[in-house]
Amino acid sequence: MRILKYAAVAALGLAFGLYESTFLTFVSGWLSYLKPILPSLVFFMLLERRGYALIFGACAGTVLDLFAVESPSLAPWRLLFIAATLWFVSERILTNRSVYSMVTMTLAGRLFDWSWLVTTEWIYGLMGRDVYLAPSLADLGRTAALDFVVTVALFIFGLLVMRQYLRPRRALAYG
Amino acid sequence: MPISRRVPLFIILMGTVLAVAVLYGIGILNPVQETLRWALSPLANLSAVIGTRLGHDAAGNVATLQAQVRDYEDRLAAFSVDYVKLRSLEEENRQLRVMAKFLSSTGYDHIGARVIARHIQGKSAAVLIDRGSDDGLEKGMAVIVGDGVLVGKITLLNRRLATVTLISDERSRVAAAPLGSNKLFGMVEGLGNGISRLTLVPQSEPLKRNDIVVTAGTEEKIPANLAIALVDEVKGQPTDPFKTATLLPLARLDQLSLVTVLRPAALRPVTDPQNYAHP
Repeated sequence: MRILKYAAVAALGLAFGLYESTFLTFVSGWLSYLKPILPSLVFFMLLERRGYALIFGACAGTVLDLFAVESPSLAPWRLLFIAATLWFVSERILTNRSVYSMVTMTLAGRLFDWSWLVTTEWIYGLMGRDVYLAPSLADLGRTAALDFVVTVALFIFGLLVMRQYLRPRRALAYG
Repeated sequence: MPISRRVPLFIILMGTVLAVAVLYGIGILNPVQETLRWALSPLANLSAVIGTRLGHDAAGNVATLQAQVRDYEDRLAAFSVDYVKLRSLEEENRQLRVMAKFLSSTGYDHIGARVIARHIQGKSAAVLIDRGSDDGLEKGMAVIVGDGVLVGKITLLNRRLATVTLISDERSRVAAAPLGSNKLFGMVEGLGNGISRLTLVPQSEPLKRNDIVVTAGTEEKIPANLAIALVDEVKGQPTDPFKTATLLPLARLDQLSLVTVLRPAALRPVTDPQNYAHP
């Protein structure tokens, strides 16, 4: 059963990766800023399913790089580092399980993601290659706005459907 | 689990990630990547087809489209007379070529490709197509739509996919000539945001609104006389050594779904009989 769950999470990662790398690039308007991979990573983190988060991030990132129009942005490592950072933050800094912490972590993850892309662009530049990977600040703002909506929706889903976040956090968080 | 027991796990995880990153960097994982691409290509194609349909349905508002239609109708009327003359010349030319058996000596054949992803924002305008080096594609080859409208060049390549940098991309440069002449007279440069311009045109060259700019044929893998764009507005003082012109694209670069890659006949794979043209 456990393997099946991991397989389902991997399949979800592949599906979301395909969605962001191919489908989304054909869509215009606000829908084109709807990028669910990062909020889902945070969702898995706050559900304390870190293994799922890492598998999901690796699978989604792999697909993002496989079908990258520009040069690869090392997306699997980007998402794994984001997952690891969120893991650390959720353990040591934002230990409560509120919608606020989830939104904060998603936005922090999005900023980290953008910084990674800007740094990758800069490194490509040092190697003499002109590559455009990072979205403009305006696009980043639109994506962040939709991240907020997706995160709140996921939180409510977790709360009402999965009955998560209702039980008290383990001693570590409050100790 | 206490934090202290998790630290080694974290280090192991990061170490693994780093090791895989190094293997990836030196290219050992390329066969794995190609296999994954092959396995996921049908899903990527399906995703692109659905995205294209939804994207086309939602594209543009009605008022903008109506204004564009009026503008294009005006231009069409102006071109009609020229078109009739051109068609008669074209027919004559075709018959002459058939007679002289020149048809197959152009040195190019073509292969169709589907756009499976796009990156059109700001300075960047590029698309990913579902053909790669396995299909005989090479960097620098011309990518066209319709009856020979150049939309871009192949700039990145792997076995199954290729990236096409469109003519409006800031990194794009295409040698250009006026219609009806193979003489190089300028450079089509991308400016980003779907715009391109013609630069480095000597003042002595006649250039006016609605002129068609075509490829000069001076680039190794791009044939001459592929239509690129229409001249919109010519800029430059008579005292300047060169003049520039803003261009109107002849194809909707933001709505590409099917394209054709022109490849020199010498590069076509022998395993592809469908696209094999007899010399």
